[in-house]
Amino acid sequence: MKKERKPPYFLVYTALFVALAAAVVFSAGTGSASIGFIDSLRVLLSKVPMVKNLIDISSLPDSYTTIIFSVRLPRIIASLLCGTGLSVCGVVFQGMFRNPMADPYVLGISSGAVLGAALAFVTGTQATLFNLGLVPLYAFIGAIAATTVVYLIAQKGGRLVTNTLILSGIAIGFLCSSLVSLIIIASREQATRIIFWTMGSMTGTSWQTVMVMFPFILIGTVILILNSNNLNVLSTGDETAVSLGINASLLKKLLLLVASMITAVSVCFSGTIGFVGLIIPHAVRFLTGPNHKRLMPVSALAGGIFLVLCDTLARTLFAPTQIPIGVITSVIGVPFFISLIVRSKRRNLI
Amino acid sequence: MKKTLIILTVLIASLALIMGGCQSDTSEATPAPSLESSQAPEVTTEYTVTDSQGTVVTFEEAPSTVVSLAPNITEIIFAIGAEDKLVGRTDWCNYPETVFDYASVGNIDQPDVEKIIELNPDVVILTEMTMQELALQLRDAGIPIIVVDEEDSFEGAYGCIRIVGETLGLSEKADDVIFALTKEIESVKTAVIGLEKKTVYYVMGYGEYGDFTAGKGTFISEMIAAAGGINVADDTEGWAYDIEKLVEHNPDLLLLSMWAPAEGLTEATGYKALTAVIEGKVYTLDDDSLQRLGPRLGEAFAEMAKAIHPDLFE
Repeated sequence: MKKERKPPYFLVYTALFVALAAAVVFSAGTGSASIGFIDSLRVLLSKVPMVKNLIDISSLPDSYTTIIFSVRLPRIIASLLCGTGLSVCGVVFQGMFRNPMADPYVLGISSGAVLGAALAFVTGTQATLFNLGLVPLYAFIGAIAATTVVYLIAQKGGRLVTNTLILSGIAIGFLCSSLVSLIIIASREQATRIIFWTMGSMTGTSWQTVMVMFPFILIGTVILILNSNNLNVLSTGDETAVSLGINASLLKKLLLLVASMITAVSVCFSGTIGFVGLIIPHAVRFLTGPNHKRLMPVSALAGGIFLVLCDTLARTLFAPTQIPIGVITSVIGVPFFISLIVRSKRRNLI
Repeated sequence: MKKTLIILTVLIASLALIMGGCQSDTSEATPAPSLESSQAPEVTTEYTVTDSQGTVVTFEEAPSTVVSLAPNITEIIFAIGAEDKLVGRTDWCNYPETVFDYASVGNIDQPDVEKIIELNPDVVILTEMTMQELALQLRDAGIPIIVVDEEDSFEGAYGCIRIVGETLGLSEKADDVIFALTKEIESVKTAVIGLEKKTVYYVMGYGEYGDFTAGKGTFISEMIAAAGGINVADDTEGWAYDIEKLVEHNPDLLLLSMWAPAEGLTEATGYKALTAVIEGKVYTLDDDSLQRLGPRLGEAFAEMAKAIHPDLFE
């Protein structure tokens, strides 16, 4: 058998971690407030245990610390978590369904979340200003409810048929979208909010949000990455899995549950950020090949970096006006993605 | 099925956890920032303001800088002569002309929080349109926030002006503005008493994207009634309307939002058959002054009454 030439993975991971750290620092130092990059660095370092005594920020206004630690950093961390979670889920759905079109939203999660959020906007937000958590809560319930319905439709005696799953996902997705349209027509005042929500936004992320997202996405991502090998087997077909003694049905359910959980948590706080979960796995596959043991962790890191950079653009490009992050992911992602496709086509021709 | 139930139970439990986390944190942080300082007896400049949500905020002295996060609030600030305190406005604030000389902090629902924190205003006045998470971030950054969001009505407009005035320590100025506004509105109401009522339809939108109006219970519908008109769309609630019903009602005149171009009506299915359209009894009203609970509401109301009873206001 011909041995494939693999990039040295130790270097790849190191490079990705460095890039991630650089992206976070760059993002923390960039914003609409006129804080110089050097001053931002000083503020950041002043909180790092080892070096904090060496840094004196007493000459800088207190507002700098507030801006960087209470406004920018939670957003950055949340973008990182969402990017990581959505990308890994994208890999899982694509591998499990053996379908390159699959993404984390394929089972109607996003449409369910939008429906939930729309209901929250219509029923709740006018009541008081400080019912923090109502929209994410409704969105989460919507996401999980939609996925549960899809699952119940598609399962047959405990077994999951992939194509039925995708089809019922599409059906429920359309149903939820129509209901959202109905809500928009019935309450025009909330229409803009609902539409903006569907484009995704990290605006207003607090540490509280990060605290809730963190355990779900971290644990979920770890579980999925640990299942990389199983996913390799699964992506060659259920029969192979069974012949290797793997309970394909149970494995699918586990992966489905964990991936849905990650997606629901990401979506309920940030809205439906499109495209990340679709293109990051494909883009990474160009680099690593289809082996999930490489594909999963690299996607996790690359997705995080990508979304951190996209959110930095979202909040600075037309500052003080915020652009929905979903717009940025598509505008940047699509040309990049197409260039990858074109390049791989050329490579095959030679 | 059992498994699904277990899954659901786990989900609900984790949900409860999420909510618990959110709720406890919010309730801890809810009290107004400087309640304690209200016990200092000797300071005479200190005063409290109760905002639209019932939150009591104490000011040790009148704020010298303010960021406004809504067009009506900005207009009120100008009307009470406090524009020298204004350091930030939204992209949507477009009146008066000079407002464009002031820095914008983004749009209403998602303003740029770090920009506001950098401006370091003594108070931010906002509506419930602004994302609550952002309002919380501002308050956590130590900036007092005042929510001015009253019911859509004439009284609501007076309330907005009163709270903004109180917040900036300019209550008397605000009272003057309210008095003038009340006089303006009441004089219109008095003038239309005894006049023959005319049937009116308010066009918010028409054509291929659907027919929208201001139905029963909306402020615009109430204003039409107060201006001596009968809103034919009162047979529905909310904003959507049916073109067939409109043709059937065949109202005396049409009032138009700026979003509904008057020129297109003569071509639009259904509308072109209306007597009001054929006779040119179609009046476009300024949305900004009509829909903002601010000092220009009286003007807008007078404009509306003038459209309904053209002969009266000559």
